[in-house]
Amino acid sequence: MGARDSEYGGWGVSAAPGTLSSQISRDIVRVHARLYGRGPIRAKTFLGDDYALCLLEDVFTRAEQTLIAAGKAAQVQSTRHAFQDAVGGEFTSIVESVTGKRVRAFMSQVNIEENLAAELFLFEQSAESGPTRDEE
Amino acid sequence: MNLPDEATPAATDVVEEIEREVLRVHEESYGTGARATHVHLVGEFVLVVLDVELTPAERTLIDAGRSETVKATRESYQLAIAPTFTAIVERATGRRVTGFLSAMSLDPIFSAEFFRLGPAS
Repeated sequence: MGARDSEYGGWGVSAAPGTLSSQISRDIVRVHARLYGRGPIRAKTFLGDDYALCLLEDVFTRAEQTLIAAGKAAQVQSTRHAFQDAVGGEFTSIVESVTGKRVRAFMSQVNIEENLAAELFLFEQSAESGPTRDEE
Repeated sequence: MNLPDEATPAATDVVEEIEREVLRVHEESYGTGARATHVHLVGEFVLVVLDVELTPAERTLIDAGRSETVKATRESYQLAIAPTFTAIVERATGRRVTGFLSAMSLDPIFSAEFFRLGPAS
Protein backbone atom coordinates (compact mmCIF):
# COMPACT_ATOMS: atom_id res chain seq x y z
CA MET A 1 0.00 0.00 0.00
CA GLY A 2 1.32 3.45 -0.81
CA ALA A 3 1.38 6.47 1.40
CA ARG A 4 -1.79 8.05 2.63
CA ASP A 5 -2.05 11.35 4.38
CA SER A 6 -4.08 12.11 7.40
CA GLU A 7 -7.25 12.16 5.37
CA TYR A 8 -8.11 15.78 5.71
CA GLY A 9 -8.04 18.11 2.83
CA GLY A 10 -5.62 20.77 3.89
CA TRP A 11 -3.24 21.89 6.57
CA GLY A 12 -4.91 22.85 9.79
CA VAL A 13 -8.23 21.38 8.78
CA SER A 14 -9.50 19.23 11.61
CA ALA A 15 -11.14 16.16 10.22
CA ALA A 16 -11.07 12.43 10.32
CA PRO A 17 -10.27 12.18 14.02
CA GLY A 18 -9.22 8.75 15.04
CA THR A 19 -7.17 7.91 11.99
CA LEU A 20 -3.65 6.87 12.82
CA SER A 21 -2.06 9.73 10.97
CA SER A 22 -4.26 12.38 12.55
CA GLN A 23 -3.55 10.89 15.95
CA ILE A 24 0.20 11.13 15.30
CA SER A 25 -0.19 14.77 14.21
CA ARG A 26 -2.21 15.63 17.28
CA ASP A 27 0.12 13.92 19.74
CA ILE A 28 3.29 15.35 18.23
CA VAL A 29 1.83 18.86 18.24
CA ARG A 30 0.85 18.39 21.89
CA VAL A 31 4.34 17.23 22.88
CA HIS A 32 5.92 19.98 20.81
CA ALA A 33 3.82 22.58 22.59
CA ARG A 34 4.64 21.18 26.01
CA LEU A 35 8.38 20.85 25.49
CA TYR A 36 8.95 23.85 23.24
CA GLY A 37 6.45 26.25 24.73
CA ARG A 38 4.76 26.77 21.43
CA GLY A 39 3.18 24.27 19.13
CA PRO A 40 3.21 24.46 15.37
CA ILE A 41 0.11 26.02 13.88
CA ARG A 42 -0.52 23.15 11.50
CA ALA A 43 0.56 19.55 11.25
CA LYS A 44 0.05 16.83 8.72
CA THR A 45 1.23 13.25 8.83
CA PHE A 46 1.77 10.90 5.92
CA LEU A 47 1.80 7.27 6.86
CA GLY A 48 3.27 4.56 4.68
CA ASP A 49 3.98 0.91 5.31
CA ASP A 50 7.53 1.56 6.34
CA TYR A 51 7.56 5.20 7.29
CA ALA A 52 5.70 8.09 8.88
CA LEU A 53 6.38 11.66 7.85
CA CYS A 54 5.04 14.45 10.00
CA LEU A 55 5.16 17.95 8.54
CA LEU A 56 4.80 20.85 10.96
CA GLU A 57 4.14 24.38 9.77
CA ASP A 58 4.79 27.70 11.49
CA VAL A 59 7.16 26.24 14.05
CA PHE A 60 9.56 29.00 14.99
CA THR A 61 9.38 30.85 18.28
CA ARG A 62 9.68 34.61 18.60
CA ALA A 63 13.33 34.28 19.63
CA GLU A 64 14.07 32.08 16.63
CA GLN A 65 12.35 34.52 14.30
CA THR A 66 14.52 37.31 15.73
CA LEU A 67 17.65 35.24 15.17
CA ILE A 68 16.65 34.34 11.62
CA ALA A 69 15.94 37.98 10.81
CA ALA A 70 19.41 38.83 12.13
CA GLY A 71 21.05 36.29 9.83
CA LYS A 72 21.60 33.69 12.56
CA ALA A 73 19.70 30.87 10.89
CA ALA A 74 22.55 28.44 11.47
CA GLN A 75 22.20 28.95 15.21
CA VAL A 76 18.48 28.23 14.97
CA GLN A 77 19.11 25.02 13.03
CA SER A 78 21.76 23.93 15.50
CA THR A 79 19.45 24.52 18.45
CA ARG A 80 16.58 22.73 16.71
CA HIS A 81 18.78 19.71 16.07
CA ALA A 82 19.81 19.63 19.72
CA PHE A 83 16.17 19.88 20.71
CA GLN A 84 15.16 17.05 18.41
CA ASP A 85 17.98 14.91 19.75
CA ALA A 86 16.66 15.58 23.23
CA VAL A 87 13.01 14.82 22.49
CA GLY A 88 13.38 12.32 19.65
CA GLY A 89 12.71 9.44 22.00
CA GLU A 90 9.37 10.90 23.03
CA PHE A 91 8.34 11.51 19.42
CA THR A 92 9.38 7.98 18.51
CA SER A 93 7.33 6.59 21.38
CA ILE A 94 4.25 8.39 20.07
CA VAL A 95 4.60 6.93 16.60
CA GLU A 96 5.33 3.44 17.91
CA SER A 97 2.37 3.60 20.27
CA VAL A 98 -0.05 4.78 17.57
CA THR A 99 1.10 2.46 14.78
CA GLY A 100 2.20 -0.55 16.79
CA LYS A 101 5.39 -0.63 14.74
CA ARG A 102 8.99 -0.33 15.86
CA VAL A 103 10.85 2.78 14.69
CA ARG A 104 14.38 1.99 13.57
CA ALA A 105 15.40 5.53 12.63
CA PHE A 106 14.22 9.05 13.39
CA MET A 107 15.31 12.10 11.39
CA SER A 108 14.31 15.69 11.84
CA GLN A 109 14.88 18.77 9.74
CA VAL A 110 13.73 22.38 9.67
CA ASN A 111 13.38 24.64 6.67
CA ILE A 112 14.11 28.23 7.61
CA GLU A 113 12.64 29.88 4.52
CA GLU A 114 9.33 28.04 4.69
CA ASN A 115 9.02 27.91 8.50
CA LEU A 116 8.59 24.14 8.32
CA ALA A 117 9.77 21.14 10.27
CA ALA A 118 9.74 17.55 9.06
CA GLU A 119 9.92 14.56 11.36
CA LEU A 120 10.63 11.30 9.54
CA PHE A 121 10.25 7.92 11.20
CA LEU A 122 11.37 4.72 9.47
CA PHE A 123 9.81 1.48 10.65
CA GLU A 124 11.50 -1.83 11.10
CA GLN A 125 10.34 -4.34 8.52
CA SER A 126 8.17 -7.01 10.04
CA ALA A 127 8.37 -10.54 8.66
CA GLU A 128 4.99 -10.35 6.96
CA SER A 129 5.37 -6.91 5.43
CA GLY A 130 6.31 -6.82 1.81
CA PRO A 131 7.42 -3.98 -0.40
CA THR A 132 5.24 -0.90 -0.61
CA ARG A 133 3.30 -0.18 -3.77
CA ASP A 134 5.76 2.59 -4.57
CA GLU A 135 8.52 0.03 -4.72
CA GLU A 136 6.70 -2.47 -6.85
CA MET B 1 31.64 64.53 31.23
CA ASN B 2 30.29 61.59 33.17
CA LEU B 3 26.67 60.67 33.57
CA PRO B 4 25.03 62.00 36.70
CA ASP B 5 25.25 59.87 39.79
CA GLU B 6 22.63 57.09 39.92
CA ALA B 7 20.89 58.78 42.86
CA THR B 8 20.14 62.02 41.04
CA PRO B 9 16.69 62.53 39.49
CA ALA B 10 18.13 62.80 35.96
CA ALA B 11 19.99 59.53 36.35
CA THR B 12 16.89 57.89 37.74
CA ASP B 13 15.03 58.86 34.59
CA VAL B 14 17.81 57.38 32.44
CA VAL B 15 17.83 54.14 34.42
CA GLU B 16 14.06 53.80 34.30
CA GLU B 17 13.93 54.43 30.56
CA ILE B 18 16.63 51.86 29.84
CA GLU B 19 15.01 49.28 32.14
CA ARG B 20 11.61 49.79 30.58
CA GLU B 21 12.76 49.75 26.96
CA VAL B 22 15.20 46.86 27.26
CA LEU B 23 12.55 44.72 28.94
CA ARG B 24 9.97 45.65 26.32
CA VAL B 25 12.29 44.80 23.43
CA HIS B 26 13.34 41.57 25.10
CA GLU B 27 9.74 40.47 25.56
CA GLU B 28 8.84 41.37 21.99
CA SER B 29 11.85 39.80 20.34
CA TYR B 30 12.47 36.75 22.54
CA GLY B 31 8.97 35.93 23.63
CA THR B 32 9.81 35.76 27.32
CA GLY B 33 10.32 38.44 29.91
CA ALA B 34 12.63 38.85 32.85
CA ARG B 35 11.98 38.51 36.56
CA ALA B 36 13.98 41.67 37.15
CA THR B 37 16.02 44.22 35.25
CA HIS B 38 18.96 46.06 36.80
CA VAL B 39 20.59 49.07 35.17
CA HIS B 40 23.70 50.70 36.59
CA LEU B 41 25.29 53.93 35.42
CA VAL B 42 28.93 54.16 36.39
CA GLY B 43 30.80 57.03 34.84
CA GLU B 44 31.10 56.29 31.14
CA PHE B 45 29.70 52.78 31.52
CA VAL B 46 26.18 51.33 31.50
CA LEU B 47 25.56 47.83 32.81
CA VAL B 48 22.24 46.11 32.14
CA VAL B 49 21.53 42.85 33.96
CA LEU B 50 18.41 40.85 33.11
CA ASP B 51 17.24 38.05 35.37
CA VAL B 52 15.81 36.31 32.34
CA GLU B 53 13.15 33.64 32.28
CA LEU B 54 14.01 30.52 30.32
CA THR B 55 11.60 29.27 27.70
CA PRO B 56 10.16 25.74 27.97
CA ALA B 57 12.42 24.72 25.08
CA GLU B 58 15.48 25.99 26.92
CA ARG B 59 14.47 24.12 30.07
CA THR B 60 13.97 20.97 27.98
CA LEU B 61 17.46 21.34 26.52
CA ILE B 62 19.05 21.98 29.91
CA ASP B 63 17.28 18.94 31.36
CA ALA B 64 18.74 16.95 28.45
CA GLY B 65 22.25 18.14 29.28
CA ARG B 66 22.46 20.66 26.42
CA SER B 67 23.17 23.77 28.47
CA GLU B 68 25.88 24.92 26.09
CA THR B 69 23.36 25.01 23.25
CA VAL B 70 21.08 27.24 25.31
CA LYS B 71 23.99 29.52 26.20
CA ALA B 72 25.14 29.76 22.59
CA THR B 73 21.64 30.57 21.36
CA ARG B 74 21.14 33.21 24.02
CA GLU B 75 24.47 34.84 23.20
CA SER B 76 23.66 34.79 19.49
CA TYR B 77 20.39 36.49 20.31
CA GLN B 78 22.15 39.09 22.44
CA LEU B 79 24.49 39.92 19.56
CA ALA B 80 21.55 40.05 17.16
CA ILE B 81 19.66 42.46 19.36
CA ALA B 82 22.72 44.54 20.28
CA PRO B 83 22.00 47.36 17.78
CA THR B 84 18.52 47.76 19.24
CA PHE B 85 19.76 47.76 22.83
CA THR B 86 22.52 50.18 21.84
CA ALA B 87 19.97 52.55 20.36
CA ILE B 88 17.99 52.41 23.59
CA VAL B 89 21.05 53.32 25.66
CA GLU B 90 22.06 56.09 23.27
CA ARG B 91 18.59 57.59 23.28
CA ALA B 92 18.29 57.45 27.08
CA THR B 93 21.75 58.83 27.82
CA GLY B 94 22.11 61.17 24.87
CA ARG B 95 25.59 59.73 24.22
CA ARG B 96 27.10 57.45 21.63
CA VAL B 97 27.85 53.87 22.56
CA THR B 98 31.41 53.12 21.50
CA GLY B 99 31.70 49.59 22.85
CA PHE B 100 29.42 46.67 23.68
CA LEU B 101 29.95 43.38 25.51
CA SER B 102 27.39 40.72 26.25
CA ALA B 103 27.32 37.48 28.19
CA MET B 104 24.87 34.87 29.45
CA SER B 105 25.10 32.87 32.66
CA LEU B 106 23.03 29.76 33.26
CA ASP B 107 23.99 29.22 36.90
CA PRO B 108 22.60 31.47 38.15
CA ILE B 109 20.47 32.52 35.21
CA PHE B 110 21.02 36.06 34.03
CA SER B 111 22.27 38.01 31.05
CA ALA B 112 24.54 41.02 31.16
CA GLU B 113 24.98 43.78 28.60
CA PHE B 114 27.82 46.21 29.07
CA PHE B 115 27.97 49.49 27.17
CA ARG B 116 30.85 51.98 27.03
CA LEU B 117 29.83 55.51 26.21
CA GLY B 118 31.68 58.03 24.13
CA PRO B 119 32.30 61.55 25.36
CA ALA B 120 29.32 63.77 25.92
CA SER B 121 28.89 66.32 23.18
